[in-house]
Amino acid sequence: MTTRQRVFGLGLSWLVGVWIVAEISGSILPGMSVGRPWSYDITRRVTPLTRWDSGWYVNLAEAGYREPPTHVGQETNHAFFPLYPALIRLVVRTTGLETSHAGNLVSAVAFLGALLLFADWTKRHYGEARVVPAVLVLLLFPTSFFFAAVYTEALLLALSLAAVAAFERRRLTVGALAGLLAGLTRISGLVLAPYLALVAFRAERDAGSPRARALGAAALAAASPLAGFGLFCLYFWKRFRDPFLFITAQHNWSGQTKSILDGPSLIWRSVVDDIQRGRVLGAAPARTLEGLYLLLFVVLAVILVRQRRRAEALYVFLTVAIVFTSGTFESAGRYVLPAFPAFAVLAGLDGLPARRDLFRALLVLAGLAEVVYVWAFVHWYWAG
Amino acid sequence: MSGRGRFLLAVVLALLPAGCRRAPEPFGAHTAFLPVVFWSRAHGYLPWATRLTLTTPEGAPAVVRLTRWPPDAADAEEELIDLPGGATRRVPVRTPPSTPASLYFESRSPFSVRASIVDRRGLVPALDVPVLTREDLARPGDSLILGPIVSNDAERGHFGFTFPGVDRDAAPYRVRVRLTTPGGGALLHESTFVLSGLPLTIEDPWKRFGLAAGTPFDVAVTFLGGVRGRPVATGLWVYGIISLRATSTSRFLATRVERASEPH
Repeated sequence: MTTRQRVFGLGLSWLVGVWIVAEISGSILPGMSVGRPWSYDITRRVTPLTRWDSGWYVNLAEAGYREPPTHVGQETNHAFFPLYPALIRLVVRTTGLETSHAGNLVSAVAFLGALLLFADWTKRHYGEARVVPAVLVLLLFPTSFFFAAVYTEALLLALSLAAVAAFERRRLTVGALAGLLAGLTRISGLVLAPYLALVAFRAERDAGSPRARALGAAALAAASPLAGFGLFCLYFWKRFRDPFLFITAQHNWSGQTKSILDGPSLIWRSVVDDIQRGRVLGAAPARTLEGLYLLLFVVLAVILVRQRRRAEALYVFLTVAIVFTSGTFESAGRYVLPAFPAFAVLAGLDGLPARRDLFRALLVLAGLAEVVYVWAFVHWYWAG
Repeated sequence: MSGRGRFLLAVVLALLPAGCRRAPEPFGAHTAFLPVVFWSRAHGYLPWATRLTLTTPEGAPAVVRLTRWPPDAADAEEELIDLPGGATRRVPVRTPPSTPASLYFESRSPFSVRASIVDRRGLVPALDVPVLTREDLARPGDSLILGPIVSNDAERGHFGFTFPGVDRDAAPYRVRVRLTTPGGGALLHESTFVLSGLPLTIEDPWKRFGLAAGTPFDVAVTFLGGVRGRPVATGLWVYGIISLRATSTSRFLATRVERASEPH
């Protein structure tokens, strides 16, 4: 069996495992009575891996963008990017699948593709021996089940890896197309821009291309996700006469007047407040873990710098920075998921004989945490 | 196709039946649709209840399938009611409180339905719910026209969208709404939007559609079809209700269907 086949098999097994846990969580495992925020018709038809923001993607796939928001605190679907719901709609229209099933299918297919691309990337950068441990880290990271849910994480990861692989191989058109699509998938796609630029520049220079050509490739690479976001803005301008409707909707969503510049200070204040009120560790485990995930990814980015993988380090740093601009730790564990180089670094523990047992113990622990997260997600306790 | 491709195709094909839940097969040619039933017990509001009876002709027993949308619990979504010939039976509404819901009856044998929304205290006259058949409902492309909806010192109106629960997997529906001055005059509002997957009441149309408070208007709703690309087995209905402010006495407005095949 080749490594790729093994990776594909691991991915499929993981998907089956996540679905079994989700189905069991929904039908057998008990949950405290938490009010479901969705109406009866939605609740009865969606899958157990369709919760929280998944509802916005289902709504977008079925109804498209609606009237723009008029006041702060009004939640509208303009805060969500169009590519993922558009793909769901395509699947719904061509197969007749129920919308959330179609969303899960898009996520699953994208994730299996992403996993193969991730295996290739890890092999190119760290060697064959690192591939399976890195894939296991990605699969068993506590919040990784979002790759199977009706969320954009799987699609973004697949497109990001496709863009990186294409620019590393100097296939500029494919890379630019994947980058453009990543820019249409979620805001995290934008932090790809500098990473892709550095990757394209590095690949061209390593191949002996003149500096001007390398700079041209870098500019194209950087422009591609930005162009995707630009297309999204253009659509809003043509339809609603407001090119910045995404930003307005994001701003209105929060219910308080703030800008991205306020993000870090808001987070700092909430951390201090949490510590003062004792809302840490056992008192607020999910929240504490969100902070720990961020911290972990910062450390992994530092390790990438020390490994002289500066482009990858920058990408991981910027992915973490998105959380800091949001002004809240909420969803930090999910936001870091596209930062794939960090998972390959984490898998390095397996390569140290003295730490192999620690690595395996951590994998088991992470897998158990993932099971708990799936249960909490299915029962609406935790939004991720 | 490679082995992996075949495997993926098998996975997709295995998933399809799970996701492609189709509308239940028609249960019989005899149908009755109650576009809206309602009950409430909230403090400070009128204690409405819906009285519902099902009758079969003498010597003709019937098995009637009732589909509630939405039901008060998942097990009440569908119910088979066995009626001997010549019987009249009261049927529990079993819809959620303070929520407009639709009821759809089907049978291979003839039957009749009677429903009225009553004030439990008996102070307000009952409102008889119109009983429609499957054929009355608007099909994709058809328009439903009613009016005028008014709001003045004496009366206040509202309208709502509804459909039989057997089409729950074809919903949500896309509609185009045109509001005009009474008698088909000037256009006051036009928009196309997707309804929710449940009966939807527009309690304050003036606020919802940005009209000047109290402006009387007619409603024309064109049913554009389901957004999930599934066939619609029955159809859509729009009802209007006018209530007297002084007594809370209500009446349904007449709704006319303009078929897509008819000249406008």
